[in-house]
Amino acid sequence: MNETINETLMKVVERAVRPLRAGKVRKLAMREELLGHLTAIYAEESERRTDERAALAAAIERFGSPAELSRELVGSLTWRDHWAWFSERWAAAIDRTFAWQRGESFARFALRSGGVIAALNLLLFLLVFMVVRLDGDRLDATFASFNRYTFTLFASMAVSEIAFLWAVQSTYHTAFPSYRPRRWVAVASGLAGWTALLVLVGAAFWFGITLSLESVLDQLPRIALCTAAALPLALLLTAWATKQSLQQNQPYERWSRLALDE
Amino acid sequence: MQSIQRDTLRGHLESLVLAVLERSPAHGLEVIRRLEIAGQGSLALKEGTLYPALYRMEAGGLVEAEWEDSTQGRPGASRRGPRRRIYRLTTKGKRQLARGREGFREFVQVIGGILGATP
Repeated sequence: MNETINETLMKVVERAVRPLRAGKVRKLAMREELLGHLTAIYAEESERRTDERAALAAAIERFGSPAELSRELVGSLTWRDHWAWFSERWAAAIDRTFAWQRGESFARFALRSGGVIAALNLLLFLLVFMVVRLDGDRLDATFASFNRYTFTLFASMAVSEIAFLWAVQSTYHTAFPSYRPRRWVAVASGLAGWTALLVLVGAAFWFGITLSLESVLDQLPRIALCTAAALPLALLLTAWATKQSLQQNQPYERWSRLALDE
Repeated sequence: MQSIQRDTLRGHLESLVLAVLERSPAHGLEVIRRLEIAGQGSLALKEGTLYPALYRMEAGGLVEAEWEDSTQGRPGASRRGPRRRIYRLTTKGKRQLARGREGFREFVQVIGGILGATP
C-alpha cells in the first residue's frame, strides 16, 4: 500500500476520532484500531479489484461515514475520557505559556518565559502591596525588607528556571544525541558547567537575602555541595523523561499533522 | 433475503456481538465476518460502527480486550502495521448474553403473536 492510500485511510479515521473529547492515549488506541480495520478491508477490496481508487472507495463505503461514526463514538466515552481531555487541555495551555516551543529561539523563549514570570510576580507583589496599604501600614523598614526578599526570591526563581530549562535542553542533546554517538566527556563537562552556573545563582540568591559577602563565602561550600549532589541527576532524569515524552508523542503528532479541511 | 437495516439492528447489536464472541475471542474484523456469515449477508452494518458498540461493552465490563502481539498472517501486512485488539467475553458479558436471549425470545413471542408471525 502506498503512502497516499495510507494517508487517505488515516484521514477517514481522523475525521471520526479528532472531534472526540477524550485523552490522547484513548484516542491513539482508537485511531490504531480503526485504521487497522480500515487497512484490512482495503486489502480485501484490493484483491477483488485492479483499480486501487475503486478499492479505496469500496473500503471507505464499507467502513461507514466518519461523521456518523464520530457521533456514535461520543456515546462510548466515559467520565474518565472527559476528565483526561479536560486535564490535557489545561496542561497544554500551561505548556503553551511556559514551555519551550518547537522552533522557538532560546532568546525569544527566555524573554517570553521571563516576561510571564515577571508579570505573575508583579501581580503577586501588587496584591501584597494592596493588602498592606489597606491595613493602614506604611512603607516602613519591615516592608522594605519584605520587598527585597520577594524580589530576590522571584528573580532567582526566574533565572534558575530559565537556566534549568536551558540545561535540560543542552543535557538532552549531549546525553541522547540523535545524529552522532554519545560522548560521556561532553555530558560530564556540560553537567559540571551547568552545576557551576546554578551554584552562582544560589550564591547570588543568598547575597540578595543577607547582603553579606562574608556570609555568601561561608555558605558557598554548602550551596555547591547541595547543587552538585542534586542537579546532575535531576538534569539527566529530566532529559531522559523529555526523550521518553518525545518518543511517546511521535505517533500522536503524525495524526495531529493530518490536514482534514479538503 | 431482505437486508436488515442498521436502525432495526441497533437494539440488538450488543447481544449479537456477545453471541459471536461466545464462540471464541476475536478482533473487530473477525466479529464482522462472523456476523456476516451468521446473518447470511442480510445484516447491513457499516463496519466502523461496530467499534462504538465494542467500546461501550468494554466500558460496561461485558467484554475485555487486549492488543495482539503480532501482525503476522494478516492481509496486506507485509510490514508492521496497526495492531488489532482481541475482544473476549467476560462473566458479566455471559450473563448479559443470557438475559439478551431471554428478552429476545419474549419479544418474538409477544410481537410475533400480535403480527401473526410466530415461528
